[in-house]
Amino acid sequence: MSAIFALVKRDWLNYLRQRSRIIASVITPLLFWLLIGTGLGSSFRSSGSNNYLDYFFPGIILLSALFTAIFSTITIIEDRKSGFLQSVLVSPISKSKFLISRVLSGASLAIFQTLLLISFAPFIGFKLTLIKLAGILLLIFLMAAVFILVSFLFAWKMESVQGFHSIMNLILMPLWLLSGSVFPLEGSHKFYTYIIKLNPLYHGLQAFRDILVDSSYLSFKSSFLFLVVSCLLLFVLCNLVVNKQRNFKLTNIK
Amino acid sequence: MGSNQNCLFNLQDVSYGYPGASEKSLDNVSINILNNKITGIMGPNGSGKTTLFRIITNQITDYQGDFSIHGFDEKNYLTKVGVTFQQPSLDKILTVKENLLIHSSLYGLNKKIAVEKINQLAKLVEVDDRLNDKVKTLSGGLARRVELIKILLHDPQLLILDEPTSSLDPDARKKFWDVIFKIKSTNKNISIVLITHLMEEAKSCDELIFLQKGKLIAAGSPSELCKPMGEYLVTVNVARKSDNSDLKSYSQFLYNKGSEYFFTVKNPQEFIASLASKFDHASFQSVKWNKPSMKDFFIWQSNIKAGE
Repeated sequence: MSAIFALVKRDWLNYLRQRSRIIASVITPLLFWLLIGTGLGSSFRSSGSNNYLDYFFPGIILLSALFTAIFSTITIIEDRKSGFLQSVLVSPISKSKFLISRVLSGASLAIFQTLLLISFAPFIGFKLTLIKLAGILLLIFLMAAVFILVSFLFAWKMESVQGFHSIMNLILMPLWLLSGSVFPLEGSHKFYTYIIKLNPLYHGLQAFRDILVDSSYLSFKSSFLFLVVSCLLLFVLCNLVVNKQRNFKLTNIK
Repeated sequence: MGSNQNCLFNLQDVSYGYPGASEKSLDNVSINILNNKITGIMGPNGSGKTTLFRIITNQITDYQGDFSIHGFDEKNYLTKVGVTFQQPSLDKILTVKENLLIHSSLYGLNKKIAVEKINQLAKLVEVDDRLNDKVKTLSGGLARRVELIKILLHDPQLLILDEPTSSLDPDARKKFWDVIFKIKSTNKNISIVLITHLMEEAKSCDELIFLQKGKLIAAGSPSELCKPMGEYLVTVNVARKSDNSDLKSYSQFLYNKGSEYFFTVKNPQEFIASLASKFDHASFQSVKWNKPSMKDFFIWQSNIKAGE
């Protein structure tokens, strides 16, 4: 069992043994979707979709997947308090492998979360095929990876779970709102258009919605590329941060 | 403290100050850690024990000075070391075995070998009947012993234990140490570095390093450290309001702490008689003597300024 796989398995075991966490992670987004969707539905007008519940469904799945991904990064702070992080850091596993394990763990949990929610899609009227599902899961994986890497940069330095929550909400919520999850972004103020173009969630969600709602893959390629590049850049940045402390300063004398 | 041949690793003029701190946590500390020995690092709170622990476990790397390894390749240092922290770093909702398997994979052990090692070590530390229980059902003492399995899985040459028994009751503490001695007797090549402030643990060490305010105060075996306190330690407790400054001029005077004056003497009865003849013994509230112990050494060293 490789070290990366072991660390991912640890997170999965911890997740699956907290039933309340799984139940809440399914019911909460569905409840939000239903309440906000029906509440705002009558005032919703969009060129693409006339039904707000249909429009909002990809957005709520994205939010729920990202929350799961970010929650998985909180374990870095909790593990530091419990001593587990230190026991990993004093082991021979490289910090890059540790970073990869965090990404795989959080992103796989986000995919599981997406699968739980998207299983409701056929009952709402969306047609799902295996190709569509694979495309959506790939996008979710990449968007989750982007957010895990961003949250990793904060979790690596922070000692307070509460502080981490506040910072991540400060980053996540505006980016989620400016992704087109809740309302269409056509005709937004010029200032926002710059943020929107740089927002990985916007690119990912457009492709997600195209696949799920319109069965179109037109925006998939460019969104995929944007997300992959974002992931790579953030991975390099995180790697630099974690390996900054790596050099064990020794003078070996045999 | 031994030549390089006998030395597992040594620190030379190591200093470290935490960012934003006005004083250094470690100040020019040079120590040798000997092969196949139990070395205790002790000192009062704030003495620099934890900083030293963090340096030798690679948690702090931006220190000044040198850290030299003898006997094994520096690239393999972390694979040769087993570390326990002040609290057991186990996942409470996972079983003992799951925790151990996850840890074994950090050291590259394959599952079959890891399971064999877990079973073998579980018998040694007497937790073999609890392997499939969740960690949250274990007592503090048992969790500590599971930690020992965890750090022994990859056959380390050096164990670094950070206050491993500070949260345990005396019975659990004794059982923990019985296991350590069992490990030491089954593997004579293993060296142990113990960070502690418990005197009964310090007594069990072959070598001791005493830190005070980030400086190295003393190093040696427990008997060597106690030697400067002489054959007997006489404690004179005086009335707080009386003037007893002359007591300090006594050649046998060691130190004082509040109303207590400590003297190192060969013959306690003779010393007390001479003291009573020279001083107003009405101001003496009590006088007692004992063979100097590690506890006396600790209190003595903790009450003199570092570097004196």
